[in-house]
Formats: sequence, structure tokens, C-alpha cells
Amino acid sequence: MSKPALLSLQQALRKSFHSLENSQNVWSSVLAECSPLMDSLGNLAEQSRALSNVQLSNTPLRDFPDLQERLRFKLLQATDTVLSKITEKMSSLQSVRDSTSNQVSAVLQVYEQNTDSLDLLTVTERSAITPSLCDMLQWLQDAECHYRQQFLRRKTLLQTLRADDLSSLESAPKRWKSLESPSAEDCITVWVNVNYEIHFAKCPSLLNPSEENGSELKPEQPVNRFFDVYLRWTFPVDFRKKNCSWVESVCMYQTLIIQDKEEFKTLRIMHSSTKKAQLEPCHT
Amino acid sequence: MSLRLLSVDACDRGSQRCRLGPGLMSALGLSLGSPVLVSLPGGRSCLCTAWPRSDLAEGFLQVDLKCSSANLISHPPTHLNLDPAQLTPTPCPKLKGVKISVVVQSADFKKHTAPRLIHELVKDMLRGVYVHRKHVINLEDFDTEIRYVVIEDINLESGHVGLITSKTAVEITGIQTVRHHRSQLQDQDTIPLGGLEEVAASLKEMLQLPLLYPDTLSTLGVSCPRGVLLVGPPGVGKTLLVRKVVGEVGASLVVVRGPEVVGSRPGESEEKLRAVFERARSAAEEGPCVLFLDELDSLCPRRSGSSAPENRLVAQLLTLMDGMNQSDRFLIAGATNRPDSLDPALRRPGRFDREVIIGAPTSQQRKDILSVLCASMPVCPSVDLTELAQRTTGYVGADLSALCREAAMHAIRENSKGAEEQAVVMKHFQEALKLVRPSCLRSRLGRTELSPVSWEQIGGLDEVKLKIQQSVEWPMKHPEAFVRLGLCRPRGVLLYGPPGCAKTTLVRAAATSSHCAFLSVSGADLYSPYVGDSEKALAQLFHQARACAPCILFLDEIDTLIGSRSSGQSANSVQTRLLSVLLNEMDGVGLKTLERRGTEKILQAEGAEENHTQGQLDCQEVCNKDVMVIAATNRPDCLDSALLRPGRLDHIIYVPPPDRQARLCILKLCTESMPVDADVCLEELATKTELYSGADLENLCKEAALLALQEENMKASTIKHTYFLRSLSKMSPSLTAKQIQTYQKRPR
Repeated sequence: MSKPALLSLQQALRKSFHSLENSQNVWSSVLAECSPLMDSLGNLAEQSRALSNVQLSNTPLRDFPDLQERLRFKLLQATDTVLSKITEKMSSLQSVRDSTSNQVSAVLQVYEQNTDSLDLLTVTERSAITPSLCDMLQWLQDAECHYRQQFLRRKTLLQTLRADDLSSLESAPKRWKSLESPSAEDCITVWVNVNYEIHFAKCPSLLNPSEENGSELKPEQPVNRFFDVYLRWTFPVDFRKKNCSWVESVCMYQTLIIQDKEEFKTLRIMHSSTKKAQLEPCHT
Repeated sequence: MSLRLLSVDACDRGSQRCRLGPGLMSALGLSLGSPVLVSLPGGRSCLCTAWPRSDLAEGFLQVDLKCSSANLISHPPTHLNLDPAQLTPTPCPKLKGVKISVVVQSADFKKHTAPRLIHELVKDMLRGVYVHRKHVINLEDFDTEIRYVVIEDINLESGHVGLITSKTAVEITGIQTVRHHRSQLQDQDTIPLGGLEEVAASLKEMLQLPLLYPDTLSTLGVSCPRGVLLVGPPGVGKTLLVRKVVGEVGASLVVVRGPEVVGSRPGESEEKLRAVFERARSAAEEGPCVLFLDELDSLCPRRSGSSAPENRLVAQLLTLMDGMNQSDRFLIAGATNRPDSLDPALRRPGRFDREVIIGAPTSQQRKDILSVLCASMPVCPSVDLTELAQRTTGYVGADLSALCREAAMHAIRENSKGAEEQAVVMKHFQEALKLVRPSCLRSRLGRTELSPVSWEQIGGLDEVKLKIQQSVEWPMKHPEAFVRLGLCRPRGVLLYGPPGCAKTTLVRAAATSSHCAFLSVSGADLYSPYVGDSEKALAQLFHQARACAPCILFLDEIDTLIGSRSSGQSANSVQTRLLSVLLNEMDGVGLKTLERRGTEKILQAEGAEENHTQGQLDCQEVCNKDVMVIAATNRPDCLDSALLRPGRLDHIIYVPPPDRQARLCILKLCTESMPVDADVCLEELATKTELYSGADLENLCKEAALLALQEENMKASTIKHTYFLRSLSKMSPSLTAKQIQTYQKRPR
């Protein structure tokens, strides 16, 4: 086992989790921008339906020449505009997906290059507060897979819309919404946050100036104890069972963490601001 | 150490990961995410990437079936223990190009989606997937209309595996629907079917001709037949035949089961039927398709006068069958065992063009069936299938498979007692033969269980025995000799003689020794208060006897059962009507088509060569296709003369009252189980019992034994001669000389 290999992999992981956080922010903001567009698409479809249902010759509007065709043309044009806007958004989603893919494959490449020096024991080693390298690689892969899936589903949805199939246009906003998978997004948020914390934990210089040169994880570090206490205080269960899967524990407390996100941030701030471990609960 | 196969975690679904313990991973030299080929029993395999389990436990394996061989998706493995040697690390080079075919959910999607878009989507989906030649990639987790991708070929000189990257060229060779894909997979597990090759070939021809030579057919201006009706008794393999042919041709099968179609609301059934035809039509667009209507008689009974809901269903089926265009290239196959209850309008050309009658199998066919069934069983080579085929007359395919199963069960039971080699031998088949009877005989008229009687158990009457053996046993045991001399077996035998002279016992012995089906009827079976019912029952009895021919049909006391036209009874009594049925059945013009054995020869464009080398089994068929009627009476003068002519009851055998020698034999047999005293002189008894019948003699022995018990107060250990004499003095013979005199002149 060589330290440089481990270091470079950790570095790559850290970098990619950083960019994953950015990606996630971009992704959700783009999606948020998309939903009004989809709503207006559905609205336009509804209008088209209404137009095809009405007999203009029976209304006072019959004096206008070619009104129906004109209206239909206008609606089609509007639909086109909306669709082109959505396509723009899609391209930014695609760029998010591509950048994540690139990041992940870069990390995997780093790992593959160093496979010989990183034995399985090292990559699967984990403690109560640190997920193993393997777990982190896996999360990255899962996140990438999630983006790919989401993008493909949305793309398929948009590409299979046809102007003559009004019902599919009408149902498009609903289907678009149903594609959201909040649980997966939450997972990504948790992973990003957890990793953020971990990397603080792994950076002893921040917390313990006496060990500045050592960059390896030492379980007895005060910050770990702090973290541990924090978790114990927040969740009365002892989850530091031996070999207890990090992912499992994260999933177990995922909801709580999400709810206590504010608190979590406080914790982070405390980490960075205090150089000494504090045992006080962070809400005080 | 073995690995237990667990089902995959939800979060790993679609990730192509296989989870194993880190120890095993390092033992196999795998790093995170390196491709590994998991081989499962049955030639199935699955390509995935290795990842350690999250709890790092050893001894378990979870495999995501993203890329697996085709039959693995339909039958996911469960409860398996694998050997670590079944995991092979497989280096996967990046692929330059790959040829695939895409499986989509619905035909609609296929129709409306541009190939370019499908190509784009599939390429995106496949990126980063490790693929194996001929494997199926499961894309269900993407939740789009594209369900699977079949890797037809990969662009690689050596090796079968590779990684698809964004630079890999993806070429789509075809797009099919899931339904079609599944039906294609089905033919991979072959269905065993023996003895129906001819019918199978003709069905196959009907399916393939329009596909292979569409131009020829259109220039000839003929339309290919589109409907086949398979008719045959239950259990001959009609359903299996259709499935087999469909599997061999690679056609898709749309099955209609009666109850599924029939709905409770008016109009519902018709709607469902239309939907079924629509389904078949869309399936036919992708390749040959068969619409199979099983148990057609329940779906389309004969239309009755009242406005029954079935009438509308039948009408709907008729119009749907008429409405099929030439372009709808699917074949409708119907199967029924009661063709007479079908609506006649269904059975005209244009609807069901062809009717294929599959009869009960001949012995050659039975041999074929048995060899197919035994192919998968550890059968001892000493088992003679030809003999078994001869012993199983009247058995249909289903019976034979039950027979083989029962024999195998016997073998298992025996092996569980003492550990021996696992093999099914003839003994097990013989045991099974006792348990499994032909299904055509089940719950039918006249089925008789008889206790076996051997010829030796009948004293005397050697001449009569020989005659019966000649007419019953010989044709079955030495058919080649009969064929050589141009003989055919007699249609019927009449045994007549005074009562109590072992006529019935003789028949039982004949049935025992000839090993064929034995039916016996009495007046109770035949007579019924309804007009015409008795005749129908008799005709059905013959029908059923022919179905399981060779068969002995025993009519005891035929004089009372069947009347005579001359004896002054009214011409229309039940007896005379029964007589006419009997005369017709025994020597009528011909048989109903439904009762045909085996299958008719079917002319084929392919020119199937005829099989001339059936040899001995053919002889067997020639001689034994008929039912042998054995009748017994003690009033031969009461029988109708038409019944007694050659061609009906050919052999008329007089069973005489026993003479002295025969009486001695009978007495010896009767006293065999009795402790007779040494002073008993059976010869003397035989001399003194002139005009005693066999039954009388048996009674005499019983009386003597009872007398012994009476006299010696239950302590008798032997029967003394005096007891015989005393009981003889109390008895009188049941026959009279005058009675015997009347039998002396032949009835014909």
C-alpha cells in the first residue's frame, strides 16, 4: 500500500464530490426552471384541444376569416417556442450529466491506475465516521447513473411528444413531474454533505495543529470524537457497531439529517471555526 | 467454500454490479469494478462488475442481471449455491463496434418512433456497460419503452466480451417487441413430443409456406390455409403439438382459453375475442404467429335456437375468421376432443380449412412416445420399449407419461430403501402398468377389474382351452404367422354349454393370458328406461373398446341381453334394437372418422418420405385393430342366426360338461387346498359324479369339508372319504342327460 496512491485517490474523490455538489445545485435549479415551461406546454395542449372541440362557425367569431387555422398556427408556434426553450434547458442538463460522467470516469481512472498499490483491505477500510474509498467510489457511480437515467427519461419523454397526439402533450407536465425522484436526490445531497464532513475530519491540520504533517485518518482524533458525540447526541442509537455499513447508517439517519440540515451546517461551521474539539451540542 | 446466491439489493438494480466478499475478490485478483463472468448451471451466464458487499461478509453473492444470457432473464436463479470457481475474471477491451437488436415494449412505440431516436437513446443507455456476445442487456431500470437489447455480435477478433464506451459504434439490426422476443426465447427449451412427426410437419408447412414462398403463392392465386382444427381424444398431445410446432418455427403463440374470453356482461366476451385477434394480428406483423383456441368446443358450441350468449360469441368468431385478410399472416389452430359439438359453420373451408384427426397412438407411435419420454430418464438398457408399447394398447401420450412417472417413482421408492444405482428397470414399468390404466377406459361403461386366472386353474377341457387360445391368444402373440398365412383374427367367439361348466372362468383366463383390455357388460349397464339409451350405450361400449383395441368385450348371458328376431317378440323391443346395434358394430360398413387410430397420411409439398420399415409392429396393428367379442350362453338356440354367421361370431365353441377324466382334474384342483385324508379316492368320486358340472363338484368338496367340521366338532384336521360319499349321497347333479342332448346339435 502506498501513500501517494491513496492520497491521489482521496484528492480525486474530494474534487469530484465538490463538483458533484455544484452539479447537483445546477441540476435542481435547471429542473426548477423547466417545470413552468412544462406547465405552459400542457396549457398549450389544452388550448389546442379546446380549439379542435369548438365549432367556430356556430359562434359570433365566424366572421373572422380562417380563424381556426390561424389560431392553430399560433398555438403550434407557441408550442414550438416552449419546446425549444425546454431543449435549451435539456442541453444544460446534458452538460451536467456529461461533466459528472467525466468526473466519475476520471476518478475511476485514478483508481484503476493505482489498483496495484491499493489492496482491497485499504479500499474497504472504514470507520464509524469515514466511509471507505469503495463506498465513495460507489456513490459517485450511483450519482452518475442517476443523472444519466434522469436525463434519458426526460429526453425520451420530450422526444416522443407529437403535435398530433394531444393527450400525450396534455399529460406531459404530469409525467415530467413523476420522473422526479426526490429520494435519489436526497441521497446525493447526503453523500455530498457527508463527504464534506469527512474531508474536514481527514484534515487534521484544521483541528489538531500538532499533527499537521500526517494526512491519514486517525480514529482517535478529537474531531472524530466530536462528530461521534454529535451523532450520538442526535441519534440515541449506537450506530458504531463494528462493520456497520456506512451507507446503512447514513440511510438510517438520512431523513433526520435532511431535516436537521440547518443544524448540520452549524456543525460544519463549528468545525471550521473552532480549532479545538467541543463537546457542547451544537444547538446551543 | 460455496457462495450462496442472494437476490440483488434494490440500490444495485441496473448497476451491473455483483456483490461478493472482499476476501474472495482478492483471491480472484479482482479490483473494484472489474468485470467478472458468473456461470450458472444450465449453460447460463451473466457478466457483471465486482464490488465488495457493503457489510464485507464472505460467502454470499448478489448478481445484478443487467447483462446475462437470454434464458436467465425469464428464469432468474434462486436458491443456488455456487462454487467460487464459477466466477471468472474477464478482461474487457473497449469495443469499436457492436451489432444489437432492440426489444421495445409496445408495437406502437416501434411504429411511431424514428429509428434515429432509438439509436441515440440506446447508445446513451449502453454506455459503460460490459457486454457479452449473444447476451441480453436489461434496460428495464431506465423505465422507458426500450426494454432489452440483444447483443448480436461484437466487433472483436477474439473473445466474447467488451466494454461499450461513448466511442463504440452501435448498429441496430432489428427492432422487435417484448412479446415477440419472449416467444423467440421459448423455442429454446424444446418440448418432447413423439409419434406425431407427420402432423407436426404438415402444421409446420402451413406456417412456413406463406413466409418462405410468398411470391409463388400469389402467382398461383391461391390463399394458404389459415385454419387447422385438431381433433382427437383427450391426452393425445394436441396442445403440446401446437406448442412444439410454434417453438420449432419460431412463431409467436397467442393462446385463447375459454374462461378467459367469456365475460359476464353482455358484449364483453365478443370484445375480448376481438382484442385477441387484434393481438395476433400485431404479433403477425413481426413474424409467423399462431392463434391457438384450446378446447374450442367450450368456446363455440353448436348454436341453439334460443338467443343464448354463446350464439353471439360463435357469430363473432365466425366473422373474425372471415374478416382475416390475406395480409394477416397468422394461422388459427383449434383443438377439441368433441368435434361433433362444434358449430358446423366453423368447419367449412375458409374457416378451419383443415381438420387433422389425431387418434389414439398406434404401437409404433407409442414406442416413439416412450422413447422420447425415457430419453430423460435413467432407464436400464434392458427395458424393451417395443414390448412396453405392445402392452400399453389404448394408452395415449398423457397416460404414457404418467406411466413413466409412476415407474420412476417406483424406482425412487426402491432406491430409498437400499441404496442402489438409480435406474428404472422393466419391473418398475410392470408395477406402474398395474396402477396406470388407459384414460379412455376410465369411468366408462363395462370397465372390469378381474382377478387373474391361469389356464392351469381350470381342470380338464383341454380341447376347449386350445380352441380359445387359438382364437384369442395366438393372433396377439404370433401376429407375423397370421400375416404370413393371410389369416385375420376372428371377430367373435361364442361359448355355449350347460351352466356351471366354466364358460366365464375360461374367458377370464383368456383375458389374463392375452394382456389386453377387458370389458364386460351386463344388462344392468345397458338397459335404461329411456328409449334409445340402451342402443347408445352399446354403441359407445364398442367405440370405447375400439379406442383401446385390442380389446376383449365379454357379453355374458348373451341370450338374455340380446334378443332374437325370430322368437316372436315384438319387432321393436329393446332387445331387437340392441341386436341391430350389435350386428352393425361387429360387421358394419366402416368406422367413424373420429375413431381412427394414429394419424392419416398427409400429403405434403416437402415430400416427406414414407417409412416402410415398421415391420413387426405393423403386423401387430393389422391383426389387432379390432375388438374381439366373446359371448357366453347356455341357450344357443335363442340367438339370432345373423349373429352366428362367420364374420360375426366366427368360432362357436361347445363347452361340454366334464367327462370322467375332467371331473378327476377338477376334483384334484378343488381339493388342492384341502387337507384330504389319505383314504380319499378321487377316481372313485369322479366315476360316481356322472352329470355333475364343475360348479357341482366344487360344491361337493365344500359340503364334505363342512360335514367334517360338523361331525368332528370343529376339530377336524382332515377330510375323510366317508364325508365325500355322504355329501354326495345328499346331492343330485344339476345337469340332466336330456339337457345335454339338446346341446349336442350345433346351433348353426
